[in-house]
Amino acid sequence: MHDDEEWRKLFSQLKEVPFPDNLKHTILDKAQALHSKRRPYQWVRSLATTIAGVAAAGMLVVGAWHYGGQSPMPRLAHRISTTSPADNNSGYGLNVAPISVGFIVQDPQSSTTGVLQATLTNVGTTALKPSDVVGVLSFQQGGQPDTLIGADWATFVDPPNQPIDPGQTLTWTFRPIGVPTTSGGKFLGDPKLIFLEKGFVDAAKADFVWQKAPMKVTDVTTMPRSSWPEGKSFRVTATVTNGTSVPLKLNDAIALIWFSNQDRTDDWTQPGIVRFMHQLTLSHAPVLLAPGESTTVHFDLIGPSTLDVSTSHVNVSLIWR
Amino acid sequence: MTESSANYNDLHELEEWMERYGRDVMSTAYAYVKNYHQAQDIVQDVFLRAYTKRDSFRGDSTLRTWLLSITVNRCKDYLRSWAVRHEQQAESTIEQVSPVNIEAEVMARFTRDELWHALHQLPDKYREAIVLYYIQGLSGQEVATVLRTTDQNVRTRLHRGRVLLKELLSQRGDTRDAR
Repeated sequence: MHDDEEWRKLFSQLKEVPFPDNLKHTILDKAQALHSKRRPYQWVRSLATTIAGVAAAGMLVVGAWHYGGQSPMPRLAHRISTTSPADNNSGYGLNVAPISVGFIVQDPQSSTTGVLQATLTNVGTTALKPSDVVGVLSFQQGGQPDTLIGADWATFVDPPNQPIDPGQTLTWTFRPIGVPTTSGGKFLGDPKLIFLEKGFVDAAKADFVWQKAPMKVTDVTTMPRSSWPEGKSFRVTATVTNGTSVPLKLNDAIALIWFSNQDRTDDWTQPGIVRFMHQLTLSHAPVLLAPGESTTVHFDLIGPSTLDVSTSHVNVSLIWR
Repeated sequence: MTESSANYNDLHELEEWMERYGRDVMSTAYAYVKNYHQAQDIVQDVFLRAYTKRDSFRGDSTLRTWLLSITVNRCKDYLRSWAVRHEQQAESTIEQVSPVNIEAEVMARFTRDELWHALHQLPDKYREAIVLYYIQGLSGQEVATVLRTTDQNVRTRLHRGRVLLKELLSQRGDTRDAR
């Protein structure tokens, strides 16, 4: 009865969905307003709307964490090749997972400092396993409309170690490691938490894009520092080279560092990856890397005791904040 | 070029996008969410999102296909959202008045409503293929690009969607005849 042309003719009647002028003007007004809020460079803008201040404590040679434990046994761990396949792309397209964070506070019931409590609700339609999402915890001064805009410090966090069913709300208490605190042990700034879906998506379809910095990362090595029953500390060292023809400001770059049991794993969101986020420099003064210039950076990190840095493959990627 | 002139050009470009593709985006959004007011919110989000991400459009597809891809994803996000699943959504239809021929307009409106209703009863995966192929006039390959699936899969969805739609329209016609 209906061939293709008849179907087309039938559906041609449905094309009359009006696009009202007032909607067009509203969109233009909002687009105009965006200009006044935005910074001049697109690569900055894309991340500024997302993780603006992923400012982990660090500097070109970052301060060490001091933990008790056995004496460090320095040794060279792994080297990876200069660039990974993901470096061919301009950024990491990420989507926010359907987990609503009802509130997040410093745990009032805890007798110890440095503990956070959050309520999480799965607002999606399928159960979420811990391996489905990656948490990003940030701290910022003052209220910001966006989760990560103006963040002073941020890190990856593993989600609760249990599935969350659709519509289920749970209270989650956790202790982030290495977060800057006051002398009284209180966290600096207000905590914000979001969860990302694992895997990358096209920029056009992403909730936000973490733009890669055009700097080559080479000679990545890992050296154990200390270990104790619950964890271990280690140093990751890398050479960073400005591959562009313009000076680049290291203050604006963030290092994503991840360890995997598989060689050349570029997807740091996947299960089983141990991942870190670290600023390249602590300096408030601009630190510029001239075109073609190289510098050595160090990241002192604390990881789980299960992480074997001598056998895992370490990867480093730089993004703009 | 000064920043203000760049802003002007960017906004002018956005306006052109809306002039050329506003109705396509709107009808696609409406086909997904079945609510004209909600469709307007999504359309606003789509154009602002496209505007802020315009530097990432690399021309691998047409601008129209790119906009429709964003629309499809925003609609899916909306349909997955907490509000949709926990709030009763009242359908709001499109009011269009033709002062010229009331009877013809009423009949046309009736046919449109029947078709929209049947379309909205289709499972999402069939409805989106039909909307993009028949309403937006995309090729099978373009539909596959927007939905991130294969050409063969699109053809299968179109076939099954047509079969279901035919049944639905037939049932509604029977009901109408019986009244």
